Amino acid sequence: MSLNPATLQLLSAYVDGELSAAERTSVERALAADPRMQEIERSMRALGSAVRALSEAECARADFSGLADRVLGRVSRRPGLLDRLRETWRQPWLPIGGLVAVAAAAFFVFRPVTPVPGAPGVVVQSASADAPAQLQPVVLKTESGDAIIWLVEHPDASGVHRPTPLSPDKPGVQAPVPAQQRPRAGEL
Amino acid sequence: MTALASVVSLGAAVVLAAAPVKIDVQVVHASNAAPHVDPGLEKMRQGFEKAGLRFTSYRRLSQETVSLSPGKPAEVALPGKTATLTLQPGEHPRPHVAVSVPPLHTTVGLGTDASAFVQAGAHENGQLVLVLTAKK
Repeated sequence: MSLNPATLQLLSAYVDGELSAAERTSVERALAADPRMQEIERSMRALGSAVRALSEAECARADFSGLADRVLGRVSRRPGLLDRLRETWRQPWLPIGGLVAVAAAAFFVFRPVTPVPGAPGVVVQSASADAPAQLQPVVLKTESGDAIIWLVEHPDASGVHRPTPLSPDKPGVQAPVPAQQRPRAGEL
Repeated sequence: MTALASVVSLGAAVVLAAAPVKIDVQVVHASNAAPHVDPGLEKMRQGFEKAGLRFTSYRRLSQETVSLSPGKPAEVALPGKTATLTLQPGEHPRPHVAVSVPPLHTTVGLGTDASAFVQAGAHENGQLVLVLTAKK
């Protein structure tokens, strides 16, 4: 009843229909001449039929309804770039962060129109008085950069109140500048 | 919704950007009464003396911090009168403040670590002085 492994392999391939025409003819010739091979061939076919029957029964019991939807659901679970961007924008932190960025940009665009004290010292831009002509404002500057605006009676006709006036960055007297001679953007 | 929030935040930024300038305003009575200098006024006394304005008494009558916005006048009360301070609009290295304490009118650029002393008229055998200092 036993066959060598090479013959069994060839017979199995024959049963499964995997042989070439020449090999098939050779096997059929051997089958016709050997009853043991015929018996083994029948056993192989019976076993194959039994396996197929069992598989079909299992398949009949299996539930394939909705399989396509489930597969497609898994395939399309990762959203596209646009959807992901849209989803990210829905996160609360991004709009808030965006608004903070917009506010920061606006702050720099609309930088303070009101100047922040940055330069040292006090500079007098103008000084005038609703007073008799002999009473005129003078500006006295101190060593520490302060400015004293004081009304003086009978200032010198020259407008200089010290014999040797000092430059504006040094302490001393700074004569008031008439409005028409005052530079617009500059300082005294 | 997002556009509305953007407009709101933009407006808030503009408001913040136009934050007021804070000025320390003191009213000092300088006279030749019994020698006395209130704490914090010694530097003023020395500056006045070097400028040729000699007083023996410096007394602080009031002190307040005034917030100035461009073009909006703020009033400071002095004995018997009122001073008006107005922040001038425009970009300057120092905030320009127009000071009106009749009969004197002046505009000063207030820098850091320095003060403007504005004569504010006679008072009780002495002189009132408006001391303006920009706060950092």
